[in-house]
Amino acid sequence: MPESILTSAPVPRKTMVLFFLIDTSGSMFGTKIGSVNNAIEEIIPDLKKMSEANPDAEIKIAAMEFSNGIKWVTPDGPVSADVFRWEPIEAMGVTDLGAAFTELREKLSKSAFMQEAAGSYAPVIFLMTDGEPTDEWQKPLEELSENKWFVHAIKVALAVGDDANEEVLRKFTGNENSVVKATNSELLKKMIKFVSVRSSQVASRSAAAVSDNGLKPTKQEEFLYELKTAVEEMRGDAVVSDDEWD
Amino acid sequence: MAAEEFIKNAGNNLLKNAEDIQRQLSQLEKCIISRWGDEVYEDFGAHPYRDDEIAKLPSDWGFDDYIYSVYGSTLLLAAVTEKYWFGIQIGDGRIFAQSADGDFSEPVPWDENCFLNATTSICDSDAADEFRHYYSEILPTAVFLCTDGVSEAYRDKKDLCKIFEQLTRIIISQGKFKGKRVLDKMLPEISEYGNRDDTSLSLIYSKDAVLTKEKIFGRR
Repeated sequence: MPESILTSAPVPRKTMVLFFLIDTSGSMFGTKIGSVNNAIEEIIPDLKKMSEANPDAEIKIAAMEFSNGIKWVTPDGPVSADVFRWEPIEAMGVTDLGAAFTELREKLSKSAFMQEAAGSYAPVIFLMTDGEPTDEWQKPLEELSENKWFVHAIKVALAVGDDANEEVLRKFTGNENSVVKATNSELLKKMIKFVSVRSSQVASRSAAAVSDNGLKPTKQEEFLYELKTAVEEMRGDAVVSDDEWD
Repeated sequence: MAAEEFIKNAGNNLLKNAEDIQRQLSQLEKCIISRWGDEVYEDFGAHPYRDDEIAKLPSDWGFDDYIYSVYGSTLLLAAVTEKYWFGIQIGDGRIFAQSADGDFSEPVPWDENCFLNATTSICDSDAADEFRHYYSEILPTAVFLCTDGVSEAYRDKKDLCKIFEQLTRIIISQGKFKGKRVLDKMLPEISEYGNRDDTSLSLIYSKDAVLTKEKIFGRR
């Protein structure tokens, strides 16, 4: 066989970005934010290994905290899992979810955090919150829902405790099966680990193109099926915890 | 019939203005959709779906969805004559043209509805409006038509065009047989290292491209 002409221009790996949107309002103070910090810190090595071993895609991480307004943990854009380090975040303030939606919409653009569609897989967007939005969020969510990256993303929302407004989270993900609830720190950590790692695996895998004709499950559908099964198992395995949240 | 009419009219300089060209190309696209629909219907009649295939189809599909969506496809088409050339497209994939000075362009407008894995398709109810096209009497030296497995493997299209340029050089200098062998090796590699999507590539080059190419390659 002749030498490959691709040696002069090798096919590059695609990029898949895992977005964390983390509520750092005052009600997250204590074991909630502590569990979030621990879980994310613990999954970084897994994501790094996955990214290194994945011939299809490099996994990058972008993280935003929202309370009184928003703040990017990764202000310069998504960071490769190979070099990403998690610095613990603290909880204080209100729940400006609308501001988070607006900021996410602005960054889901090839002129901001995303690259050309040709070199990318649809991102994973993982929202964690424990309460009610304290700012106007409907209009920002409507605008976010028109963003193409958002439309194609795998979207998951984690309700931390019983006080999270799950209806808002359902509207965010567009699917009630994409909203999961953790009622104690053990479940919270397990869910963060499962959602982050498994959704990244599904999202960064090559898949033949499908038109919107419903013949093959989308990555979102495929992930949700796994999520449902995993959540049932986690709940079944969970021991009664002494830090059960109200 | 529409294709014959378009080629005859363009060849005989009967396309007077941009409006004429637009109208005739749109007619050609409608004709393609209609003929595609006829062929699908005939094939469906000869090979009806098995029960296990029907079970996989969404329960809320209507009759047209039921038949045509399964056969849905993107389409890339280009024709180059001595006087003019045109390209027609629906869905993703890309058409690249190389000019006499060696530059590459994507003359057929991109459709923003084709994003990541979503694409328009000839099976869409508004397919006639989703077709895009390009017509010019400035002839390219080469035209490359590729499905998205090839075109979207590269973030920077300059890298892809570099590959096309090399391929053309091999075909021109070493012949079509050698070019085909290179292509047979190249497409599976792009599929393996790229998005593992369908990888198809067609190339048109004119005999004048040989001289142009020698001139271009000679000066490098």
